[in-house]
Amino acid sequence: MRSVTSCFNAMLFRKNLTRFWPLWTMASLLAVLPPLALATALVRGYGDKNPLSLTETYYEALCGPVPVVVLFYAVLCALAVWGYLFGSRSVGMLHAMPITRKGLFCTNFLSGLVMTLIPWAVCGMLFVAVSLAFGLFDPAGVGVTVLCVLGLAVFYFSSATFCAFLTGNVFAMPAFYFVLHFIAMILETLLSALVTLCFFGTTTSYMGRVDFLSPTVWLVGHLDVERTYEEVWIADGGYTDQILSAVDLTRGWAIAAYALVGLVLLACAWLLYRRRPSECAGDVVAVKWMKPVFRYGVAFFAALAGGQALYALFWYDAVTWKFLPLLGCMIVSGVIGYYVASMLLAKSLKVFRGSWKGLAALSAVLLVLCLGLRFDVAGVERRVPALDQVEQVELYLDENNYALIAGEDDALIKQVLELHQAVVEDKNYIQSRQSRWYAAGAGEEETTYLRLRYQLANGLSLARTYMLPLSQTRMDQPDTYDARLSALVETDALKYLRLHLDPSGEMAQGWKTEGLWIYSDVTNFPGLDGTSRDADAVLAALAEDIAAGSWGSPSWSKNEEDRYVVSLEIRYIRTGGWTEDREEDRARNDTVTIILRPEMTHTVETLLELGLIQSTDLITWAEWNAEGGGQTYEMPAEADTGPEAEVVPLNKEVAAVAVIGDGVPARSLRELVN
Amino acid sequence: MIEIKDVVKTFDGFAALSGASLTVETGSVYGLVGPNGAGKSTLIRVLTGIFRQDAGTVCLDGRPVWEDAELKARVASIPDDWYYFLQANINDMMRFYRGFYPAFSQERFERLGEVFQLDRKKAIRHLSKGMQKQAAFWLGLSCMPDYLILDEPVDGLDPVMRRQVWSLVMDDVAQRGTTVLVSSHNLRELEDVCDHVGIMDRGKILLERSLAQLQDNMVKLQVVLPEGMDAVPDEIPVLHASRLGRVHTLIMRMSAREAQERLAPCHPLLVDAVPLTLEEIFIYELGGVDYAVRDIVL
Amino acid sequence: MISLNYRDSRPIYEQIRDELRKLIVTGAIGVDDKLPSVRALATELAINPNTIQRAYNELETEGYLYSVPGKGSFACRPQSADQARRETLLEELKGLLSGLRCLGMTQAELLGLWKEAQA
Repeated sequence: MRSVTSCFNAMLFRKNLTRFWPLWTMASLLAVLPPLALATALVRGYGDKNPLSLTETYYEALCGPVPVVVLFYAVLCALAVWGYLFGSRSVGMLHAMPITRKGLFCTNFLSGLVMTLIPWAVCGMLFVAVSLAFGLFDPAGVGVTVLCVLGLAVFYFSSATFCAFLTGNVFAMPAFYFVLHFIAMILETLLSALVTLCFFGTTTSYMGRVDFLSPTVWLVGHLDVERTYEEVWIADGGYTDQILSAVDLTRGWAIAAYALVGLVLLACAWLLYRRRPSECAGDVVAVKWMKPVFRYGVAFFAALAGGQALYALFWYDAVTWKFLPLLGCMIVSGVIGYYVASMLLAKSLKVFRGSWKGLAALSAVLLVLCLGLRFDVAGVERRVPALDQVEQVELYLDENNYALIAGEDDALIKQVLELHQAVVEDKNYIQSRQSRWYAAGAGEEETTYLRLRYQLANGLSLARTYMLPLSQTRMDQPDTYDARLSALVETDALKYLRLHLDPSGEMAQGWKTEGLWIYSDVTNFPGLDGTSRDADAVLAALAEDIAAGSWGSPSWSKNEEDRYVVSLEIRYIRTGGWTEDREEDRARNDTVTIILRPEMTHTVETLLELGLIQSTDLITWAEWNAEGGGQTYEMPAEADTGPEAEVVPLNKEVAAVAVIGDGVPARSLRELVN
Repeated sequence: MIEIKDVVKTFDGFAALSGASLTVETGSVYGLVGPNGAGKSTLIRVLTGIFRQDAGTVCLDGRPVWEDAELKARVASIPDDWYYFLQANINDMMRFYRGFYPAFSQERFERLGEVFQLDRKKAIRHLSKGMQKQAAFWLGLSCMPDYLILDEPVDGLDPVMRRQVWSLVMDDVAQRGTTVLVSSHNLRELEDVCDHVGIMDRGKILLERSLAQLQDNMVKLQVVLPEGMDAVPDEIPVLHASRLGRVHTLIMRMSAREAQERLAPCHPLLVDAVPLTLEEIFIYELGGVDYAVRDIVL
Repeated sequence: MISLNYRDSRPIYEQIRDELRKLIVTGAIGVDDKLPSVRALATELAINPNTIQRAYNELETEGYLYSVPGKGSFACRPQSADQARRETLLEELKGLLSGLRCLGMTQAELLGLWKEAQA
């Protein structure tokens, strides 16, 4: 006799697979394509003949496409096997059958997981077959990939299963699923938008602090393939070649962690199933205690998203915000969200009676939130860290980037903190001037951007961006931010830092020059590359100019007319110890723009000596304009013969740019001339 | 034996069952009658283990039904809205049932096939509603159940098929001693097939009786009393009395013989026992209860 | 063989009992003939077998049939059965007679009827 008390019912398992064959058959047909493409490529003679390159392909797939595909496919499989929960007829039929819920749960979960895995199994087996046929089989890579796909399938299918037990509605289930997978990201975006709107100096920047709560986002962003190459002497060709010698999946452990989370969710799903009432089929929320969570969650989300959208539509202002309109927009959106959620829960449009209590609670929360924003209860606007809390400051000042490190640049950091404090205290003045600036249009006022990013000892970071109006009168008064800003820029230590030089004038640790680029804002001047040796020489000259006090005045204090039409850029690259960690990535390369002025005698002399410029290039804008500005610059005939001279449009705003054409030897002017 | 005791089931604050109790002896056919919304379907879903009651006990042969797969293997239920897989035909569903019910009899399935002239290879969703119901009976009976739970079973069947279906169920009862619980909003429908009837309203069983007991214990007499006697003496218990000319119609809760003996001292000119229909019996049973249920059910 | 009239207000078991008795009394079912089984009759009439069983039980009490365990029920017409039947009919006749007398029918007229029935 067949056992009816066991956890697994073979009939149900078979039925699940046979009923939904179009789903997994279609998916499997699509899964045939990648190995087929590989096979045809190999037959045609394309592709690397290194087994590791195939492993590399697998890992690259794991870093992006696989999680995304599983995300979507797992929810379809879950809809198929858990679909019976969402209809009163079907749930009645299966629950009246001689099978326990345990049996239904285990059997349906297994059949759904198998359904999720079938296309991957097809794909994987074909890949293995193709790689065996062409001698490209790498068992370790295949093993890791199989485990990863298994882990991803368990995680995504389990989370979909969990969502299926939260709801009784076939449409709500995928909605819950995607909300579960992306809520953290969406909430962070919405909250940071609100903070930016309300707090002076804050900026919208998606930090991805809680990315790990949005697994797909995290996996796509953090999984990576690490390749190691080996130089090999190719005897018959007589050259060395780089051969892939090892491939690793970095942070692959995360998949195992997520699979564990999936198992926890699965256990929760089982607990929910044990208590799940069959009559909740059709309900948007199947779990009793989840109903208020859903109602207020939707209302709060609507208030955050809809409130900000409405406010931006009617009251947008780049500088300040108004308390009552924002509160009003949030309450209106929140109320709409509250009623929509109530209607979904009640499956009826008559939800208005007795709803005032919930609405009052919601409005009160929104009022408290807006009051908190209005009076800055958390002290976000006024927060200036104490000196001993700061570990590092990334500073963008006068169109240049600096990194100040506690213990090395304490004096500078102290100055920065004082400047920050002064800015915070002058909030009202700055905002009124900004409003005028926006109203009058750019150009009326001198403004500069100040960006601060502190790394604090407690592991947090604090980022602020200010657009500061500057005026000469205030600059002459001590203790104004204008004066402090000016003083900071004029500090020699900062100037050395800017050029990645030690105070002694030597190259700072961890940096080296990569090259030099001379250009002009005047059209037709050919951009000229200099070697790193040229750059070193120019840097030494710049250090002398700093010492002589003739370089480094802030951009706003000097007349544009006095500068030469040619400028130069020095490109730096970090030496050693560089990882792909996000924060440091930005600082791998650096480019400093140096505006040439007649008083920078050492630098000009060096450039002339190196032959990078000629005395005829040393024209100031005043002279240029006097000669009839706007006309075509008459180029030195020699320079014109440069075969690959090109004009690159200049973007002064870009302070740090990735260097394109890595490894191409810089062409000096002399080379061009001869 | 089916024993349901003080079962309560609430949906979002609405009590669909508020202390319903009933007992069905093994081998008997129990008719559950009540107006729409009385809670019959809910009671049946509790009994088949679909709903879990908030309070009370639901037992088959003394064992709680909830999550007892072994017990449920002995129960076939034919709901009002039978579920079948979207693409399935009768053969597919038969294989599905066969995989679940250990007692499923292929032989019986084939035999019943001659009664239900249905195309076994046609998608069930293309069959008419009545045919779908027949298919449900076909599969349910093939499971060789000890308990047959029927919710509005013959709704949508034509009279010939209705009779056919009942005759199959009765055959099962006679042959295998199957215990049957059948719900209906029509007492007339159940009169022939049931031996016990329970009347349900607003989540409660108002009364349950055996039909034999009912028919023996209530009598309707037409009596002509001698001159000068306008009413039956008070000491004779009468449930209900009406009068048309000299003919009194009396409803009494006793057997016909006892009633005649009790009336003899009055020397009636004429005593005639008139059979009561089941409807009438229930009307008088529900007597004092001023329920709209009387109009709907009976 | 047996037809049920759903308009008849008599309980079904009474209808079955009366029909079967008529068949036995009129000789349509001969003495010692086997009666249909409860199951067959329940299936044929789509009637609760307990109801059929009840009719059979009553007929057995009245003496119109006897059952042999494992074989079924068989018809018979014992004297006692006739006696009981006679009593019931006489009872009915008494009622009818009193009714007719109320309507003013004389003894002579009734005797005339008796002779008519004999002829």
